[in-house]
Amino acid sequence: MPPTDTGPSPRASVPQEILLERLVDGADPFTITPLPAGEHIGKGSIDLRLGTYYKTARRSSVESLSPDSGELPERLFEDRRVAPGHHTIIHPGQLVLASTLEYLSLPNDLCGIIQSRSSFGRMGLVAATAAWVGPGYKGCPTLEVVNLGDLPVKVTPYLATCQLVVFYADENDVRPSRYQCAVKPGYAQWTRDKYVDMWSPSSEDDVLRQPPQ
Amino acid sequence: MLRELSADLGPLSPGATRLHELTTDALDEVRDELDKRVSRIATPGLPDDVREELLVAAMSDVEREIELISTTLMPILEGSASHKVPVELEEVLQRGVKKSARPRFSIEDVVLFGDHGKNYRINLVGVGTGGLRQWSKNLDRHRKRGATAKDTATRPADTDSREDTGEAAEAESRLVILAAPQLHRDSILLQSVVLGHELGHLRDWNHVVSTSIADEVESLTTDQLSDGDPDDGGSSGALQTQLETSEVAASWLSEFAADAFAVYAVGPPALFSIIELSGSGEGSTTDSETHPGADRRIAHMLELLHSLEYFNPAGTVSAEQPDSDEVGADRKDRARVELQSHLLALNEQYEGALDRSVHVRPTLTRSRPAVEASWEFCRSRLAQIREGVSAVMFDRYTIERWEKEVPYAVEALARGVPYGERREPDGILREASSRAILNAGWHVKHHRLDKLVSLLTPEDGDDDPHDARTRASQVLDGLVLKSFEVATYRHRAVSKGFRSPGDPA
Repeated sequence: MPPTDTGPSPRASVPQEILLERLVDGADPFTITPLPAGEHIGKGSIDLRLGTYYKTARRSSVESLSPDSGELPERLFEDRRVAPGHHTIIHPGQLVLASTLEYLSLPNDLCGIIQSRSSFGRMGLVAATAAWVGPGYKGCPTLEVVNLGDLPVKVTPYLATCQLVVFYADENDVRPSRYQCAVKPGYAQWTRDKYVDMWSPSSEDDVLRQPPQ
Repeated sequence: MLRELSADLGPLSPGATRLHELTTDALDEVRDELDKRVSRIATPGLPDDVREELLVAAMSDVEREIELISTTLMPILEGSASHKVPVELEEVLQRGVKKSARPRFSIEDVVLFGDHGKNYRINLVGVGTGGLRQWSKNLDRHRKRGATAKDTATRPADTDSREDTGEAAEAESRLVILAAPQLHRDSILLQSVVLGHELGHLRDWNHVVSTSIADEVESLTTDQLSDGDPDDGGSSGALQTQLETSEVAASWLSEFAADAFAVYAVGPPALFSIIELSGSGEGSTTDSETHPGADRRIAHMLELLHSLEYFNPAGTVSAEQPDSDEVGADRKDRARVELQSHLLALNEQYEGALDRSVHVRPTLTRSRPAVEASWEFCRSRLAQIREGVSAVMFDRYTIERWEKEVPYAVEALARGVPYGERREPDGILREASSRAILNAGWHVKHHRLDKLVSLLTPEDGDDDPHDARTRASQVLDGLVLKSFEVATYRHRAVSKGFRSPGDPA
């Protein structure tokens, strides 16, 4: 959807020249640091690079994970850092939590979607599943890198693995992220879901004990 | 463990990788040495009892060497794994080491490792003259002189990492081993500045500032030292006091010199880190065998900051009239006023610290007269220390430089954005200085943390205010860490000639 006379429409992608102009303007709240090279700012999208911190699951006797697992997932994942110039191997079926090198600071009028680059996907790696980056977001987005292929894949920090497609946003649609200002990959911060909780056995007892209205 | 590290060299820094190689070499040398000695022991015609004695001695030597490696080098390698130290700091530290190096040292690799203890330390290992090679040479020399294996066992090589005060001056290559408590792993602001103090020790050793002054303490007469001490009547007691005075004074002067180097190198954060580490309790006013009380060090650093015109104790805090043509004049003035007010308050708080009497713990292992004499000596030489440091420290972080970059970095960090690169007046995007990042980080911590808190806390949030500030502090440390990473990235990109959008054609 192209910008209209009254201003850009929400969900219209941001043209390349506007992206460049806004990123270079030091006074504009739209910031990506380190600033991507010119060849990585495309028509409506910006290439993002893999950072140096990773979280990988360690082998354990824990049977499964669920949203009720509390802090258990954090303990099951170990931190690793791969220095620039070195590499790590992602094995078939392995999930690695990584983050982007770039720190994003989106103003209230922009939002984005992160998607894997196709050349990366053709090796079997999917780099991003939680793709939405809301207006007002700040931080290095966590990438859920999964090797869906049959062969181990070697990855190196600062490899351009995904891209941020930038759209105009409704400035009234700003919701603070739970992962605001994170610079390293983080595990899920689950919140209680009352619509799930109302089906728990204890909750059912409470309902049965209540007199009908 | 060495094999595990070999299989996974990715997480090791360049310095630790070099240490790993040296350790592997050292183990190879031990193995070769053992092979040689066993083959000599197997010489036909050697009596069985001599053969047995030589074998036991050889095994004992090897065991000792391996134990030495296990207890000194392996904990360093283990602690240098990337998740135990903020490795982003290593390149910054490496640059700091280069700046402080003496010309004849061609290589000085930094090894930063997370220690289980609570102290920061710096050690130098002379790679050229130390290590297992020296041990091997000693062993060979003894054998040529016809010494028995038992004799060689009494002369093990000194492979222990040690503080070098200049005696390894002929070494061609050294490892600078920096220990930081793993407890402070994520406290980047604190770690980076305290490590700056440790690098101050390196500069001090390299430029022989405190040691040249410490030598003077030996000229103090025994009579001077035993004056006023009724328990110290005998000459042997006085001599002991003199020796202790000499040791304590040398150690304290070294701390004062490292503090002075740190203040010249990074400015006010050198002071803030000591305040944070010492706390406000008894620890801040206790003099130990190795360190003068933190309050004395803080008072000394405040004098230095005054000399660098960061504040004026006689004057009042004032903001100059903003220059309307200058972008950001308001923010510069605000930041400067905040800093000046803070330093003035600290100056008032620590006034008199240099005049107070010695305060030591009952567990002191040195005699009180020795500590008192040390302090009197150090106090009389503080100006000399400052002059000595000033004479070799050309790259000072002055208030003018602070004003040029820190207020902008403060603005960025306070709105939750790392400050790792900045557009220079020539229009080129370059890395931000690590000193600006550190100063800005501490400034936000002291004066703008509320802004970060509000950024992280939803308007309808019911977070505990203390928890919210703790979280904001953690986020700030993360932003500082990211700033270092971005600065390192940009430094390399610019040095490789890569251009950024917005750079002039």
